[in-house]
Amino acid sequence: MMDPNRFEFDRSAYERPNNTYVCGRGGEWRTPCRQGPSHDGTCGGVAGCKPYHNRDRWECRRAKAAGGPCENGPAPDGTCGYTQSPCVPRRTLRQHRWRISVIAPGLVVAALAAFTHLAGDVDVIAEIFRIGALDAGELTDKHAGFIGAQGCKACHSAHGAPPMVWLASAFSENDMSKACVGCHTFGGPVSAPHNAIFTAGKKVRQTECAMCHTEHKGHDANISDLSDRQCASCHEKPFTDFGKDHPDFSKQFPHFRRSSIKFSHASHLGKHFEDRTVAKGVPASCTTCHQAESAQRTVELLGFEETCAVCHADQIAKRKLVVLQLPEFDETDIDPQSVVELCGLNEDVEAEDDYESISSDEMSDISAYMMGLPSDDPGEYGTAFQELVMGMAEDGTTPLVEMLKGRVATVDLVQLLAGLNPEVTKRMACAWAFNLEYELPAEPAFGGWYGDLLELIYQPGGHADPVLMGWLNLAINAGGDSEEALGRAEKMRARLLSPKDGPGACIKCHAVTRDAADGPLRIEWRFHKDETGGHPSYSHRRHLGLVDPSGVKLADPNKGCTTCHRLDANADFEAGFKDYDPMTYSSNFFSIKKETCVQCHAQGHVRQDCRLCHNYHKEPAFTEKVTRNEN
Amino acid sequence: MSIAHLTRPQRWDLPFDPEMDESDVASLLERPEIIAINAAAFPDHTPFAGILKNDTRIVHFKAGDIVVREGDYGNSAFLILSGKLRVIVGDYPDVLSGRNRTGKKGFFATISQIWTNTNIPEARNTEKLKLQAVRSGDSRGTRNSRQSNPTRVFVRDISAVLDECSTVQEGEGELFGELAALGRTPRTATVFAETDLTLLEVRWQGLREIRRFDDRFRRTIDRRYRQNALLVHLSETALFSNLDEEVLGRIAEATLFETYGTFEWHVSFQRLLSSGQRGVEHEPVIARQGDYADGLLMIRAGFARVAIEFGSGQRTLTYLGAGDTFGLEELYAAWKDGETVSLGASLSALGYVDILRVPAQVVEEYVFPEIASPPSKTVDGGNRAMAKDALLEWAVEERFINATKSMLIDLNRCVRCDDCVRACASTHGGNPRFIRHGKTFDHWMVATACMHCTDPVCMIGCPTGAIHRSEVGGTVVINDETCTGCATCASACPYNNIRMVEIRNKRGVSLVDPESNRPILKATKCDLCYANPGAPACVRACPHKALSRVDFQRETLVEGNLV
Amino acid sequence: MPLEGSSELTGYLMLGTMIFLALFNVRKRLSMLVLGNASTWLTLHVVIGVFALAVYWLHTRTIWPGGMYEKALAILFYLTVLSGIVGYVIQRFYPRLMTQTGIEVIFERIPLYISELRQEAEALVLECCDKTRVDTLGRHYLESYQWFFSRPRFTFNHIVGSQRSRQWLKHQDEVVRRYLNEDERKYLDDLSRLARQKERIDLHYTLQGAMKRWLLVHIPLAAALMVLSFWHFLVVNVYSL
Repeated sequence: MMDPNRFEFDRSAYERPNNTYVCGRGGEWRTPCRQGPSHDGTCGGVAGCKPYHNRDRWECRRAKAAGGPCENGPAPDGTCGYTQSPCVPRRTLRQHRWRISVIAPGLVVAALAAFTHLAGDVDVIAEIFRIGALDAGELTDKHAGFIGAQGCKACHSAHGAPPMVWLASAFSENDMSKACVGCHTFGGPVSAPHNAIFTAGKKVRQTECAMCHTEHKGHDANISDLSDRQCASCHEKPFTDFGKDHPDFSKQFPHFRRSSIKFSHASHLGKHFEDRTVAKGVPASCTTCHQAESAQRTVELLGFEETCAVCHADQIAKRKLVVLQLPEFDETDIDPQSVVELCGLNEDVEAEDDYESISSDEMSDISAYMMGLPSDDPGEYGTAFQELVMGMAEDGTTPLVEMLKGRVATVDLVQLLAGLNPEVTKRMACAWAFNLEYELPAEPAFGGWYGDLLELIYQPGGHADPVLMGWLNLAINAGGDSEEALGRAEKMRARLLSPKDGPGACIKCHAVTRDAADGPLRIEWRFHKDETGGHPSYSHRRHLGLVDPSGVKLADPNKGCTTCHRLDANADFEAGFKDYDPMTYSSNFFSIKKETCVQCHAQGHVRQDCRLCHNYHKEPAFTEKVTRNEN
Repeated sequence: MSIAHLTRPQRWDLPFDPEMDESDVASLLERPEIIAINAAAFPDHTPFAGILKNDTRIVHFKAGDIVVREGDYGNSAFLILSGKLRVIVGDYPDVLSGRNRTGKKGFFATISQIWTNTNIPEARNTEKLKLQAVRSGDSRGTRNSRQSNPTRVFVRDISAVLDECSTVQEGEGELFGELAALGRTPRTATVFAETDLTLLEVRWQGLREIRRFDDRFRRTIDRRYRQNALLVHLSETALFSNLDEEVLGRIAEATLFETYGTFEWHVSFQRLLSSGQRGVEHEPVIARQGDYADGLLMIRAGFARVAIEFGSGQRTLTYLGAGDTFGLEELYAAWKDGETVSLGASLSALGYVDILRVPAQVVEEYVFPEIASPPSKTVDGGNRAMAKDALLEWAVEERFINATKSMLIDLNRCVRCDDCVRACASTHGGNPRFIRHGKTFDHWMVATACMHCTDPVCMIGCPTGAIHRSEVGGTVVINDETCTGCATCASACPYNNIRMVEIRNKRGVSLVDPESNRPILKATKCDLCYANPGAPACVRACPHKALSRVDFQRETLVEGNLV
Repeated sequence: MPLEGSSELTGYLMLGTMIFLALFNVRKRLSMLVLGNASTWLTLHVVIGVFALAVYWLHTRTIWPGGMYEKALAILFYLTVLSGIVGYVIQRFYPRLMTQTGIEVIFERIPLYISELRQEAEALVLECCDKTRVDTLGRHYLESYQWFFSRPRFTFNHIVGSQRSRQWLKHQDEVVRRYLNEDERKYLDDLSRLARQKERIDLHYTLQGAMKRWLLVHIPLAAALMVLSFWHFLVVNVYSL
């Protein structure tokens, strides 16, 4: 077999490795024939050779490799003497490989077909199998509970569609966000980054929910747990180190907007709290007023009663609201007789020939505004006012109500005149009708409406007096048709809203704000939770373990709250309240710099990933569909 | 064999033409050219008449028949007995040769192989088989049998050829073809019969004997060689290239011709190998290590082994082929230093070699003053590990020295995937042209794929010139259309690299020659994918770089890798 | 740049990688065109095959995905890669083992060689029994060598490179030698020589067969993987892109 004669050209024919068949006998490890199968797969070795008819004889044509022409030669009829039954040619390994390589993908296709559409419809098992070829993994528990009978179709609108529609949806953009919004809502457009409305003008890309939140990751996967990398796919500056890479905080952080109350920490901590006389009112520490222990970003304050009232409660009652003032009259139209009829006799009345107005004042700004009359021209206002007086003498409050009705809505009326006793107005009006000053029987020690001399006064009972609030709210946006009317409104406003002498001293502390450029003014009655400055969240509660403010004295500049909030004694705090723009503001405190945070939030220390402070979504919530109780 | 038995040359047992008889010889002996040869000078065991009887034959050509083609290999000389023939000088139409001069396949032809390749073995497009101007004869038979009706390629339109090409007419008494016969070089021109022609064809053995014994004949032959071929050969040799014609002429005059070994080495060497008569000790020695270098040896044809004494044997340093020189460094050193320098290695004949010996004085006088010191080409064989040369030694013994493109397969890399065979088949219509088997040595195998030898013995004797050397790269190719299936080449190839195949039509039915009732055979072999774009497909297709086409002399074989 | 964790990018990269890997088989069938050396293609195939494993893990971000058809994809992928690695390893080591036998045989001719050896062995045994008039060797042949010469044997041992067959042959020789006379022993020597020759052929059959058969695992798996990958591509485009 290793005989070199094996290589001779007439003993060794070409091997054809692309052959599809080999001799069957060889495949069974018997003796294979030399000829091998013919190319069409039939046995080629039935006969030893194919005898040739040469003139009148048959000659053997056996290949030399097989031994050359045989001794006996073919039979006289031309058949070869060495015949055997045909074998069944076997396929070569390469052929087998080809066939298996066709069958294997075929099996895959068959399995896919079986697992998508061809299984029965109703059976539970079939249902499992049916989506087997499409099953991409478990849903999170929360979503799985909401899918219900819809199944995959709840989010994938193409599921279950006819084949061509299903295929066509491969070429269209997906609309899964629509499905998400069925249950999830946000404070802004769903498809905008951060659910924000961008006004800068540059075209902002649309975002889809599935871009960041990928489902089918298992039943206990957290699909809202996103990484810095995902933030970095839009915010292109890559961050590895908060300290180095994050931009510095804004200059004003976190004091972008002035508070609603004009409380100057500098003056209080620096001056007022030093005053011995008010020692009992001085808070022990920052957290006496600021409820930081449970606060997240915004630290709520305790109310006026718990904090400021100790020192400031008295001041409120001292400032009174003068609603009506008896002005000077040139003449009187009041018939004394009718007065007597209404009011009874008054022994103080002196008969006089010449009328001399008891008052030499102007009309109060409020009444001037309300009646729409110039406050300094008796000729204009005289008659109307006297009518008012007579009306009050007769009816008590009715004419006042009438006067106000033209200017305010009914609801506000109640607030404006709450507590007004008709007795007060009548007796007062009677005195004025007699051209006398009205004299109180006693000191108005308990506040409320009372007339005094020439004025109808309201004295606030205490903080947050609703009547006063009503009048101030009325005054703040009072307007007029004409320039004169506007002027009167302006005067009324100026008087009521004066920080120094406005009634109730409300405006001494409460800021007046114009929110929008041409919008109305507003008095900030309540604590304003400042949400400017973007989304970053901060938890005071979590940090107080480090900067425990309890027990830290107010004055201590290094410990407690002042670790981050350092008092800036030189800031012009007052200036921020002089205009109506809440954003022009110099805080009492230095802004907080990034370096403060980096002490702990740095590479290798505490968490410093984006989502620690920044939220992506604006006010994420659920729709009614989710929260509604179906029962 | 003792001399007593050697009454006559053994080859005369198979005369060139068995039907040559006494009367033929007698009529030849009356011719003036034959008379001119001194029959008395021939020894008793090789009489001249015997040579005429056994080593010659008379062949007849009809007008238009092509006698020899340029580029063919042949080993006969011809003497014109009667008639006229034309030797074509310069260009001639392709159809006169039996070759096809198709270039590489174009883009579409290459791509279309993807779907035209078929699994039917050796299918041929029978409509396209243009049966060339081949007058069919008894296409089987060996070289030596007399063909009463020989196969000839003929020129259809003689006058057209005469008009188109420049030719030289030769007439009675002229001798031609002896250089090619003696030197194993290709025919230099195409010769065809102008009229009906009778030639005396002398095979090279007879020619050699006549040259040996008849001085005048030898001088004639040698002079013709010197005039026609040697000058050209010398002027093309780098060593003599800047000498002028006159000097070259003198060198040519002084050059001696020597022949060593057996001309028909390829017939017997396999037999000798297996009987153990191989190895350097059986090779004729041309020059011995330690001898005084008395001349510059130049190899004209054949191969010679350069070896040094090593241990108890000889260690091969390299082998030399046509154009290589031996002894140059020693001669130059001797001339320069004025001392005698002995040869650093031995030179022995591998199979057969023609040597030109330029005497030392001639070289010293004319050549050395003109040249700078020759670069040392000696291979330092003594210090290399023996294992490094083992492959070379084996290759030389197996006579793979002949190869320019032997298919060498590294068996440690080959995964027997047959991708090479498939690639070969893909470029040949689905039919592979080699077999992945062959002689092995250590982890090397030389597969039975045509090696495109320097000395292509397969080409000798092709009746139609179907097997020829392509002009580009020297690839030996077979023109499928003119091949008559005589199997001369297949039996001649000493490495069994040519195979005869039965051809079929497109439906797979074997084609049969209607006259002889035998299947039509064609000779096939590796053709280095010469008609296909890109390098040979087998080399490109091996995923493990196990297969290379190698010339053993040029490659440096480092153990385990081909560098 | 998509925000969804770059699965789309790695998905396309995976698709491109797998198509390139599959093209290797195509190139092998197109040797008549000049498409680059197959050795370059193989190197790229192996390197990119390992790269594909990395890309796969980048794409799925897990070793074992959820979902039925994705699990099927993972199985097919891992098996394909594994079979590829096995194939690469055996192709590195088996050729050397074959060279070490000292012989070289063409795979398709092995049935012929084995049947010749078998016939030679049987002729030898018959001649021995004939000449020596004793049938011991013949009986032993029927008990042992006949099984051995009938077809390739000890395939598993050849696969793992153990010498069990040689050991077995040596043993069978020893077993009978003590019952033979000197003439018979000469025949036994010849028989053993034939048997060792057959053993070498067995090794070639096994190793060359292994180097052909591993592709019957690798290629069908790869084909199935391609089909399922295409399905995955379709489903992803329908359901989430």
